[in-house]
Amino acid sequence: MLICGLLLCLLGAGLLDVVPEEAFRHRGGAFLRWRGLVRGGLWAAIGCMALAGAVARVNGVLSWFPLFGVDGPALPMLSVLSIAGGIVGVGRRGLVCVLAALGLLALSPLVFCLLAGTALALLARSGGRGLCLPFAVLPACVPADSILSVPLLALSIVQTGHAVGEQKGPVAVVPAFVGIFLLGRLLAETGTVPFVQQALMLVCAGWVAWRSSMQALRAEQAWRVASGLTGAWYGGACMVLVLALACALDGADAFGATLRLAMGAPVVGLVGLLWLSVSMHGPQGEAVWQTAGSGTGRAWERWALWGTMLPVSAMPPLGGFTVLWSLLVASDYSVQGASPATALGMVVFAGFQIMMAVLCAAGLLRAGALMRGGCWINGGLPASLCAGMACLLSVVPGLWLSVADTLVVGDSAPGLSLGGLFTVRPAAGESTLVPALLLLALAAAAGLTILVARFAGVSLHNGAGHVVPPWRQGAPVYTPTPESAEQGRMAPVLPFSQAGAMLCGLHGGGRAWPLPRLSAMPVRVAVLSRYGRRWLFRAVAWSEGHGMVLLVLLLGAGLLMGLFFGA
Amino acid sequence: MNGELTWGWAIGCTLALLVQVTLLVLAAPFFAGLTEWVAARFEGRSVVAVSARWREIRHHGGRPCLRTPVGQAAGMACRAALVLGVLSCALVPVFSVSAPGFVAPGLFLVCCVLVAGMLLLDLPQTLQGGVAAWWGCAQLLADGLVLPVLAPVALLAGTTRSLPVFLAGVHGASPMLDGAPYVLAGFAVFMVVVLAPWGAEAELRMAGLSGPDRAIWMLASDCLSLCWVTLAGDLAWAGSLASPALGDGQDWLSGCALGVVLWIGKVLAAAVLLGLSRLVVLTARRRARVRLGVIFLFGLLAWQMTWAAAPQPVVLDEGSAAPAVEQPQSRQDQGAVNGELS
Repeated sequence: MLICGLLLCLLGAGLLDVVPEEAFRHRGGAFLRWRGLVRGGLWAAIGCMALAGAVARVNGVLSWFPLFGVDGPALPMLSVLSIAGGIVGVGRRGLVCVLAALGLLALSPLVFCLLAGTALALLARSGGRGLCLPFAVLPACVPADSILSVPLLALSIVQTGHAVGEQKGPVAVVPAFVGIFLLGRLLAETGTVPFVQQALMLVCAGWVAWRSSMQALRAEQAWRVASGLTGAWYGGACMVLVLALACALDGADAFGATLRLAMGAPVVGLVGLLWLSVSMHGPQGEAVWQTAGSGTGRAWERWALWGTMLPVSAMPPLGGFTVLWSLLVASDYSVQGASPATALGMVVFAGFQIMMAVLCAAGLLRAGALMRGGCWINGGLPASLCAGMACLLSVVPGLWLSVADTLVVGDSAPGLSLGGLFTVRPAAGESTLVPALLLLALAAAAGLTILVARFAGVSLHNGAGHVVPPWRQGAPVYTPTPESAEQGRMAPVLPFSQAGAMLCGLHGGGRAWPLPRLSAMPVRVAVLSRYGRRWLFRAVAWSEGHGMVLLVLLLGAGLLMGLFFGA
Repeated sequence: MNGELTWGWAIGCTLALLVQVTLLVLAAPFFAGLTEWVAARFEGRSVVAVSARWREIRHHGGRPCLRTPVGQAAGMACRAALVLGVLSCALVPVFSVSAPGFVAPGLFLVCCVLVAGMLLLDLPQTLQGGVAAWWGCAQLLADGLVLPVLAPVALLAGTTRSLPVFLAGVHGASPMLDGAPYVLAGFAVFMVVVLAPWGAEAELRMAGLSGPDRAIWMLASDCLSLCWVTLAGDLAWAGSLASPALGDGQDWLSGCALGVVLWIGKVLAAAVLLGLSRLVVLTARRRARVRLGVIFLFGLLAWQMTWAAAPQPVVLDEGSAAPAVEQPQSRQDQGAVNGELS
């Protein structure tokens, strides 16, 4: 019956999206205004029903229409997808959310392929991509124990990852959800796969995460930055999912808990951020520094912006930090009693994931800088709702862990108690994290800081200052003239990728080695050899310049040999 | 103390935390001043007194605050960094580990709070725009990437147990013998401060701030450096910390007093080492790269040494401070260390 209700609501929402506006033009303009609210109400109902179903662990098939049913991860994912569906606008994007939600409810792989493929085809923006993208759901049609299954899965990870980075607005989470659903289902069937295939999937997911975070650090438009952050989240979640289901590690249950946490507060915050990045009224792309303070935009809207960013970033005690912590616990469990290569791989994996989190924090800073001082439609209300929900989920992670228990195949969470609501307990072990305690500690530290500041004779009250123009010591200030701004030669906002390239010793921001365009084979070989020599000389010059670091690295490599040939 | 946490011990631990926070916040600018003094003496420059930093902070606290239009956000960032600095002063053990059963953070959480504080302190330079934003972004990346390269040290300490439990576990390991991996881990953490920006670079980071903003920035920066140094000292020599599990109240109090004396000694040694390191001149980019590389490699080496000696999972009893398996491993550890290095 629950499934009936879900289907009806979904069909209603879909109809509202599909029916064009002209049908109502002569009926009355009032319905147009209410259309958004009715849609929002329908999606909210879908979300509540999905939550109720997830808590009650509803499982089964619709008896009179056996194509649809609920099994495993569908209901928790549907409850999060409903948030995205509710705040996305009407039209093509709303229809994509409806189709994806119907696909989550589908039982047969062919029906899932059909629905999810149509959703992905509607998402693709240009023709060629529109043809290739629906093939990302192809692995669902291939039997799980065939030899093509895992390579096709790796390909689908890459494709959906690219798709996530291209989308504008909250609909960017739809390819991510389709990808995670497919990956989870198929990996749960295949079980442990050989090492080469594990490595292939991990490398593909890591590539998606890296490319998306580079997009977040380089892009000049707010929606691109937000989509890049979503792609980085998706790549990290795929890596965790592969480790939870496809590798025989001791920490597999803890990785499952990490994935459940990653699908909670960070996604809700990301959806809010995505909505904010496409619904701005204000100036976009100009030098946002020169807007006078943060007086523009009401306090509500400022909360919407910072409130969605906080759970996504890895600041303790909120959402992203909990995910990183449980990831480290899982790595800890996997490292004990494993072979040296696996242990070293785990250390590198943990370092890679934390690096992705740090780069995402830098991307969030850029998103905040690009969207600062803007005003949003509806006063940013949907984003404030998302921010509130995400912060709430960060503070009561135990509740979300028990709701999303069926998301990953594995140990089921213990029963809920009042203390258990606030605790994160990744596996049946002794390590726990209570984010609420961290918040209390922060509050106590804030109180102590006031005392400290009083002692040091410093006033902590922010805002008691005179505003003066920036002091340039008499030098003229470079302001971009309108002509140069049109030509696009503005200074990049918060140039993280260029600064990072400078730190790594790549001059020219990483664009110093463009690929040559070649035409014929013998010429190709000759030119390649010349380029090869040039690259060799550059590498040698770089090594000379970084002699000290290389010495340290060689020392480290030699000592690492002890890991394999020593004890 | 054995068994569960009683009210007396809980209150004692809370009082110890308050004393610890006061001690660290008061000592932090003195530590910065002492480092400057040592560096100036080695370089042959004229010296200023050790208390100059505190006087500068109080002087700036009394000045009027002049802000550029983006100064509001920079002021917020400085205050948030000070809150995080005070929080980390409470989280890092100085003279005693907290009693088992008391709320305690893990090493990863402490590192996260410290790195978040460092990132917030880099924001004012970034918000100025123009060339300063370039250097600010590079500094933000260099400080933020300290967290991933500390991942081996976090895995060494074990995320499944909190920091006091881990430190109590290695309490018996002497730094000269079987505690050598932990000395390496402490060294890796110490590198965060050794290769941090100093001198003209550090002045540039707070160049746009004035008045109370500047004072708060300096105090927060000093607190964070002292917390890193204290954490490194704890990892290197955990035996200097008093442990409530090893005796009753009287023993613990005398252990705390001894811990304070040893902590002062460790901080003095760290100041001398930092002053010596100022003699090495590196460009900003090279310094950032060397910092990340050295922390990662030393952390990896330390993790590998402990992992190779104890590959089976360490079993912890609920409520006891010392993990049961580690004691017989320490001999093997020593043997393994000697075997690999020879």
